[in-house]
Amino acid sequence: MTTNLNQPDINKKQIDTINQQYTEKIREAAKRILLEKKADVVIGFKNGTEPMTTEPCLINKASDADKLIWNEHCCLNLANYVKGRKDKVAVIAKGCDSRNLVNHIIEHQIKRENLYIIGVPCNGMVDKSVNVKDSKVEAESDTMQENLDVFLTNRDMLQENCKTCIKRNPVIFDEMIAEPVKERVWTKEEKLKERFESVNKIEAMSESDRWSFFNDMLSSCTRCYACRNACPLCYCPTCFVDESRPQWVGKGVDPVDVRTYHFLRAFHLFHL
Amino acid sequence: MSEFEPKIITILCNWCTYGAADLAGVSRFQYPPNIRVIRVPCSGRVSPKMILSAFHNGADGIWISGCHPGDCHYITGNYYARRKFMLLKNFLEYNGIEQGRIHFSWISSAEGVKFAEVARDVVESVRKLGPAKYFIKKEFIDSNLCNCLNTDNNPDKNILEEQAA
Repeated sequence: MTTNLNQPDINKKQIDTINQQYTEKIREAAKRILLEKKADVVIGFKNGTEPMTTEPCLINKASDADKLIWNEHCCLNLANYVKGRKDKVAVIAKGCDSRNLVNHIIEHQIKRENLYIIGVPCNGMVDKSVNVKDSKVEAESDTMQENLDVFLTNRDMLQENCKTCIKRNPVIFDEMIAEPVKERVWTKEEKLKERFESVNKIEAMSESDRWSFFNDMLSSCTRCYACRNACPLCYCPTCFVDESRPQWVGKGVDPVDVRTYHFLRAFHLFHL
Repeated sequence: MSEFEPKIITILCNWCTYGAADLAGVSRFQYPPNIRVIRVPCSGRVSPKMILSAFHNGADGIWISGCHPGDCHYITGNYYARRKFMLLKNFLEYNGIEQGRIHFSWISSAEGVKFAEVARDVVESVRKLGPAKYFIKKEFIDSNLCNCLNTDNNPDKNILEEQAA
């Protein structure tokens, strides 16, 4: 899998070194930016309250810069915290975040001159939903830390979207905190076969199978709208599900309403 | 005898296809009566919300028609519509809706013959597919049935009342 991913072998030690370097550079940059008043606030990550989690963190004092960290759990998209802000914002951006920032600039959600982008080359984020206990890792090691070590160095443990990533380096930035990492080059065949594997799988199904596939996928949805809150592209002042005159989509957890909500949200995001 | 008669929600642009429907009527061209027409100022006015809402409420098919690309009364409305609908149609089919439930066409107000032809094609293709299976909201259909039963001229209601008495 490692060679397949066109990435160099990485072990836990190397990951730790990279994380440490990145963290130091990020703190240094944050301090400098706040002292030089290039931005009023720096948006980055701090440690979460549980292992393997991080939280978005806004700092406005140089003395707070040491809160900021970098590791392979910084999966949240910080572009979400930038939109609509009127002050000058410095934001830490991976490849994916930077592409969303471009989108926000194009759609006038933020002015480029109010934005200071600290680019971070990304080695991929770990998929927390992959259960460590299910893999053979547990049998081989006793402590939580050892579990994590193996977990982190296994490239299969990357998030799905990181496995198929095409821009690991930021596409737009004011400064980079490290040398760009190697981008994966996809041949046309690989692109069709590997990158869109999950899409092809659905396309190959019959119509009724496709319908039930998405129904199963959405059966656990409770309409909490966390997906809408986490989505960097969802910024409509009034979402279509909140419209009441006329009310096109019901508000409950009727399976058809749930299906309609997800269908229209997806459509709305890729159209316009 | 009891062949399935589809209900097709038809959304027509005021300036072109609605005129074509008018012309078809005035010229007495025959076309099936399965279409329910909604008039909108422009095909660009149609939102995917409306299309899904039609399915929620028990439509078996949707047909949306506007001016030929380039002939929009509002210059660019139908370009937006065309983009929107191409994506929507593909995406609905990706989700499992059968090909042939959703139709889009461009008919000018001089094309009464074409209107009748397309209407026949649309009704035929939806008839072949049978009643809609997906995106139907049960409560809507049930409440609509109740509304029918409650109207005074509903023969079923009279029978029910007779039985009750």
